[in-house]
Amino acid sequence: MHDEFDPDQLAVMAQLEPYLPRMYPLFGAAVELYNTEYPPMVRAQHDTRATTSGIWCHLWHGFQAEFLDEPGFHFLEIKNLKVLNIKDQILVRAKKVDANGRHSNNDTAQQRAYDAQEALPGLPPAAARIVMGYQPDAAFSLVERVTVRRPRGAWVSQVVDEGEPRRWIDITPVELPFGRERPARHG
Amino acid sequence: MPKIFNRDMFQVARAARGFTQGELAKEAGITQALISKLDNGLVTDPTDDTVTALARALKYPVGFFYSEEKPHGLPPFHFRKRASLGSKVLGKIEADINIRRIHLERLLRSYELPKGRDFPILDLEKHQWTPRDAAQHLRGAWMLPRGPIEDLTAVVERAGAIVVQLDFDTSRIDALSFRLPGMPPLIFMNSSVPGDRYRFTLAHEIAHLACHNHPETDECMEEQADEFAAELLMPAKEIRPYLAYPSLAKLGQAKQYWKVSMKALIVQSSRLSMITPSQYTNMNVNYSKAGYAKFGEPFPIPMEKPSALSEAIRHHLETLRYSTDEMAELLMLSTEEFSALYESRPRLRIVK
Repeated sequence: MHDEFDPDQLAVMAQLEPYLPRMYPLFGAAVELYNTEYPPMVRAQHDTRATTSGIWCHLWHGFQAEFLDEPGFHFLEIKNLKVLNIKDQILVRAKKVDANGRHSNNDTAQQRAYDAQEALPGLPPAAARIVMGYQPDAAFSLVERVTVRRPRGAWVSQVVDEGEPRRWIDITPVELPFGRERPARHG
Repeated sequence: MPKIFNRDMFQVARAARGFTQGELAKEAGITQALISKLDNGLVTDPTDDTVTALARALKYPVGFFYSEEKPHGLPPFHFRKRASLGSKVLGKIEADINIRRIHLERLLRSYELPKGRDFPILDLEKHQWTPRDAAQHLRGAWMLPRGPIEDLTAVVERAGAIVVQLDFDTSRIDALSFRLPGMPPLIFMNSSVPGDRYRFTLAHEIAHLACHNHPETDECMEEQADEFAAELLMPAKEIRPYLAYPSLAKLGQAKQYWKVSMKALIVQSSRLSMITPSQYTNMNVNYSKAGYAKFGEPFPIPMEKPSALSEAIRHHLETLRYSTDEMAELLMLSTEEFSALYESRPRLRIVK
């Protein structure tokens, strides 16, 4: 069955798979924390950017709380780019994503380089740069799905809850013949 | 004093239980012909056995059918209805409301509502007010603080109205309200609606009670009541910053602060010209696409709980030392039905 998949996707997901059961609930927990612990008036005055930013802070804190002591895991911060380095083989960013698993970035050279899988000072050059994303519902009341994506459209996996043979399924969008590349600011 | 069979109360009882003549005849073990004649006043003095059989079938005490109460017809306006209602459904609602209204009349003989603020009449025509002006005036008269109204039911009951929650057995009608001589303003709310819709409906009914004492066209009154309700719950001056560049994500958060539905916020955004007509259309499309129209909105708002009626019951049980049986007799109910309707909370016991 795995022969159908992109070998890179299989390799990266195989390395991630042991940690997915611990990563998956962090996304829902961050959204829930935001929706329950902030006073309603404060949340009502947040714009979508502030909401996303608040959820991200709690999400990243959740990752740190869960994996700070994990052997081979290192949390890196290079010029505001926050990345989880897993054994110098995978670099993980956490982001809000759309239904295709795509995220938005501030359009900086650093962000573009990360998404383009290029070398960046301070990051292990050979490690796969991936984005773990959460797709909220329209009102940010819950997480509809958690995805893992190799930026620039190589592949997208959806992390699934227990009860499946694997902890992920392939949801890479099919390229239509008349499809066009998305603008550069998108990953 | 001779007992006189009260045909109106018989009709109320039959409607409240939702029985057709044929169903009641079968349940009571008497002929449909007799039921029909009782209904039409052709038989005015049924035998004790007949009334006992009717009482058993309809689960009301015999005294219910001999009481001197007169049911009121519902006003032809003040319905916040979503579609036309069948006569059987409407008949049941009318009967349930009449029974609860009679309960309130009987309870208020020995219980005085706490004196609070007044429930004013706001004459739009006389003052040349828009519904928004009237809502602002009412917020001032009731000395409501800036921002969201925390508990609208408590506010309206402090103003002397009584709110009664009933399961209307239909989602097509949300509330009914009216004023009767010698009674506080009465608002009957459908208890099966979501908490955010309940609050908007209650604000809408406040508009009818405060502003609509000269019946106008139904459509005009409904529009005015909606505008009034929106201003009461989401004053334009205060809500505007929360509606700037609205998205469903932003409205979901604003909903929890203002305790109104996302749908009401979308409509208010449009009403206050915070969004263009095409943005309004897009937001409604996205709202439906997200499944909120069909499956309900996220972030449910808790249902508010009225207290005036339960306080009147508590006064009778605890201060006036009525037993449950005596309460049932006062309200012309079986003891079981009294307990089911009014004693859902565990009863307090006096510890000696």
